[in-house]
Formats: sequence, C-alpha cells, structure tokens
Amino acid sequence: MLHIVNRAAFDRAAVDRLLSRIGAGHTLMLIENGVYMAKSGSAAAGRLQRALSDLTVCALAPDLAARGIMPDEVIAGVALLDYEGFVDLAVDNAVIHSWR
Amino acid sequence: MKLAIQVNSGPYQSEGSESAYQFVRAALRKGHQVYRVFFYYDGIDNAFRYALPPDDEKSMVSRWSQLARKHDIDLVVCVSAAQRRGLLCREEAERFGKVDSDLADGFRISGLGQLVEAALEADRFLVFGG
Amino acid sequence: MMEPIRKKFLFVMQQAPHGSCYTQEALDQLLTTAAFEQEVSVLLLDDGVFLVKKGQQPDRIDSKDIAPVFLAFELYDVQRVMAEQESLQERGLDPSDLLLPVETVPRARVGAVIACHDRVVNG
Repeated sequence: MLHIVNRAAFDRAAVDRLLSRIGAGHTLMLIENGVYMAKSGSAAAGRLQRALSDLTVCALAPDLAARGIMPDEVIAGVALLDYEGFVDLAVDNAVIHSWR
Repeated sequence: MKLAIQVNSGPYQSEGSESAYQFVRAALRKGHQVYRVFFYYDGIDNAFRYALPPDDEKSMVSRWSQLARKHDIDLVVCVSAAQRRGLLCREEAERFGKVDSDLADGFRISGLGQLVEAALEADRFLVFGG
Repeated sequence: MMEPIRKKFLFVMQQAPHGSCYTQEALDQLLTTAAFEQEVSVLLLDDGVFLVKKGQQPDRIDSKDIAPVFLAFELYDVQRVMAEQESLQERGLDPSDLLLPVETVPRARVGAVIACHDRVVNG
C-alpha cells in the first residue's frame, strides 16, 4: 500500500511513530512539507535511511525544488518523482492513505 | 484507471488543493479518467466564485473551473460543508431566502453520497489536504 | 443481476474532538458510508483516542456531543473500533476511561491493519 505524508517530522519520537506505522513492503510518498524529511543530514535522515531496507521511499520533485532541496541533498535511495510518477504510484497501489 | 479524489483543504490553508490539482492534471496526461473530485471540510473554499486573489497570485478557483470546462470533470462541493461555511449555489440561496449565489463555474453542490459513490466506482481513491 | 459493491472502508482519526469542527464532518462521512451498506471500521490514533473518552461535556462550550454517535456504531453496523495501544498509553487512557470497548492495536501492526482495507479516509 501507499502512505502519503505531507508534513515533516524531525524529533526521534515523531519519526519513529511515523515509520512504525508503515508496514514492511509498503511505499512512503513524501509530498508538500513532507519532502523536508528527504533531506540528508537531518535528525530524521539516519532513521529514514535505515527504513529503506524495508520500505520504498519517494519524494515529489516539484515540492523539493520549491523548497530549495537539490537532488544531491536528498537521502540516497529516496526516489524523486514528478506528478506523473506519483500518479503511477497510485495506480500501482490499491490501498492509499494520506496521513494527517 | 478511474480515480476519485477528495480535497479537504482550502487554497490558503495548505498545499493540499495545489497537490490535488496537479495530480489530476498529471492523471489526465497519462490517460486516466478522473471520475470525480469531491471538496469537503475547508476544501469547499476552492469553489467560492468571488475569491479575488491579487493578479500576481494563482487563482485556485479559476484553475479548477477551467479544468472542469476543458476536461469535463465532475467537481462536487459537499452541501453540508458548504452551508456551514456560507457557500450557497443559486438554488440553495433561493431555498434559504439568501441573495448571493457564490458557487464558481464548473462546480456543483451535492451530498456526501456522491463522495461514497465515487469511492466505490473508482479504481483508486486519494485524499488531499489532511 | 449485479451484486452491489461492498468495500472495506477504514476511517483513521487522529484529531481530538471539540478543538475543531472536523470531528463532526468526519463522522458524517463515516455514517454516510455505513448507510451505503459498506463495511466501515475506525482506527483511533494519537489525539483521536480522546474521541472516545468517557465523561465529555461539550455543552460547556456549546458544542455537539459526539458520544451518542460512537454509541450508535453498532446500529450502523460499524465493524471494528480500534485504538492504537501506544496512543492510549501515551495519553494515560486505559479501557475503563473509554465510553465503549475498543480493540487495541500495537503501533507496529497499524500499517498491516490499514493495508487490509479497500478505502482509507483520514478523518
């Protein structure tokens, strides 16, 4: 299934809470302010990087660009998608949940 | 595929309506059918006819209206959410003895049943603006 | 003759009651879905667990009481009312504090629970 997250979390408790609620084999799509979590070097980056062994993580490229996060600042292993790629993700996942 | 979209936030609340709009455009470019876009909670703010942003700012209301016109997309505003927030179409206004008809072109007002129906009819259901 | 469509809907509720109007509208969407004879379940996370706290007196702030809606869930054939274990613990709530029995789900199982539904709505 696809989890869409539109807010960033950086403190350990919030990041753990988010990632614990995503099942193994699921896909996490970061959009809007959620893309800030895809930036390397943050307090969340290590935890997110470790999660890549269980989940697929994607981030919306236009939202990253809008926020000044260049592709080389994104955590290695996070896929950058445009809106058409986001549509493809939705097509590939029968169950989709947008987190508050 | 047939897609149904629920939009929960207004243009000035969060990026949700922008994300929904761009997602719908991308889905159409990819040849998918957008069965319905249903505006709920403060998402109804996307349908106020008389919203007048400054010239150098995008108008979400106009963009949705144009999208509906160009691609014949069913844009539905929830009647109870709209009434709570003072958005009435002509028929509703007449029914309640009000003067203004504030619903932008391309939108129609209907009940939550249309949201459930869209979620059942479509192959994929997404919510924006949570 | 075509069988009517029946899908499994999950309403994920993360917000506390009374601090906004969203609870009422979330419950309206939930009840409409149930009235369409769909299989509806609820998952309470984070401050959403306060939705089912006993003893709410919303009339003190001129707000609607939501407790009767939760207590009527059985009438609407709402299937599962679930609450995340950690969300309850973090907020100092145990089963005796709640106005109806809930099925507790450990945080680590939340993803799997959500994934076994057809349509997921954030309320």
